[in-house]
Amino acid sequence: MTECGNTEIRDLLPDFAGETLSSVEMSRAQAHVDSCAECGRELALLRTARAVRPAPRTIDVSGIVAQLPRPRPQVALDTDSSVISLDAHRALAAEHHPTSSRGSRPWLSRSVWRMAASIGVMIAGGWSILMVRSGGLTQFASERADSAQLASAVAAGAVPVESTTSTRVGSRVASENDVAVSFGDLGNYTDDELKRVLERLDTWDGATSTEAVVTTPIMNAPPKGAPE
Amino acid sequence: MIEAEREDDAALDRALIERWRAGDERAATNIVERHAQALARFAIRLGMRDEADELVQDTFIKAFGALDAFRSDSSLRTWLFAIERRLVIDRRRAAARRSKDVAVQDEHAASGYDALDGLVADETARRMVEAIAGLTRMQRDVFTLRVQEGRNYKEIAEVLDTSEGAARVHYHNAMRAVKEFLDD
Repeated sequence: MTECGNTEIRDLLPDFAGETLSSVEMSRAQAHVDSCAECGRELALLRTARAVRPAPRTIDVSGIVAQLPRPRPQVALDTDSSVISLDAHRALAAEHHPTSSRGSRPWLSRSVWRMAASIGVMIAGGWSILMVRSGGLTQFASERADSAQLASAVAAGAVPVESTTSTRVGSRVASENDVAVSFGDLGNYTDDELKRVLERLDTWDGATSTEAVVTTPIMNAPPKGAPE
Repeated sequence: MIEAEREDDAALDRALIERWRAGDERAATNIVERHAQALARFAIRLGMRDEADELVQDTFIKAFGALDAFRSDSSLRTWLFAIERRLVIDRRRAAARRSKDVAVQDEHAASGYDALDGLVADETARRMVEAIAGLTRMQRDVFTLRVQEGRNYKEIAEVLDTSEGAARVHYHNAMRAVKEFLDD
């Protein structure tokens, strides 16, 4: 079995068999087929293949058209009267307010969801504000109670006036850092004892210093001239 | 097909679609009349002779429901063929699931083609029908779309969801197979 090498003409042969070529192409293909036995045979084969295509059937066109989905109405302004046609208006009204149709009422479900979401946001926001306010009020109330207790203690002479400030400050620090701080220990020393303590601290070698410490290198530098 | 005729056909289809969108029922009738026969033939070639009418109807229903997706640079008939072929594949898959049959996309299966179709009057025609029936499914689809429906390779590629080059190769392989069958 041999095949013609003229692929351009061979590509045209199915259209030649279907008689759908332009007159120029038809005459060009015809001229080639007349001189090429292989293409002549292929053309005959194609005509036979085209002839055996399925026979026409009776089509129920109106039945098909009746089943087709209707097109969406197009809204076009009437250039003469500048009004929307009544059909389009009704269709649009039905689309945006489908209350009359017996369906799932999507507009209703949308509104319900929007309302539910708004209520949810309001409840969450209100609850947050309430929590913040209640926390602030509790702290304020406890401070007020401490102040009242101290005031009554000072009035009764049980607590010296100077220590009230430090006690309040100390309690605030303790509450913020969770570290117990005592302010009463140094008060037990006399002035002479405190001076001696300070003098001992000044002479103490182990006292911390913020000055930079000269550190010794871990490895000694090799002597000059030594091989590396 | 002559390019000018093809362009006229496409322009006419576009005009009919616009008229139908504007509410003209007769435009839908014209569209169905223009393409129903070709769709019925294609359904039969795809091996769906008994369901051809139903397939044609389903194809139009699906197409008219998705006309917004139709690209006007494509031929309406090509687009309809592609929809119909997809429907056939879906039905075969569903049938295969029901019967737990062999894989649907068997490219080399010769089944599904109605070899006894048409009034085969003479021996040559009968042999031709048998030769086409003996092609692989893809070869047969390409061959019939090219020869019997006059579609070009670009359109065939669109219908069969393949490339233009692949369609061309399938056509030449089909032609060689038909010639060999007829030479035996």
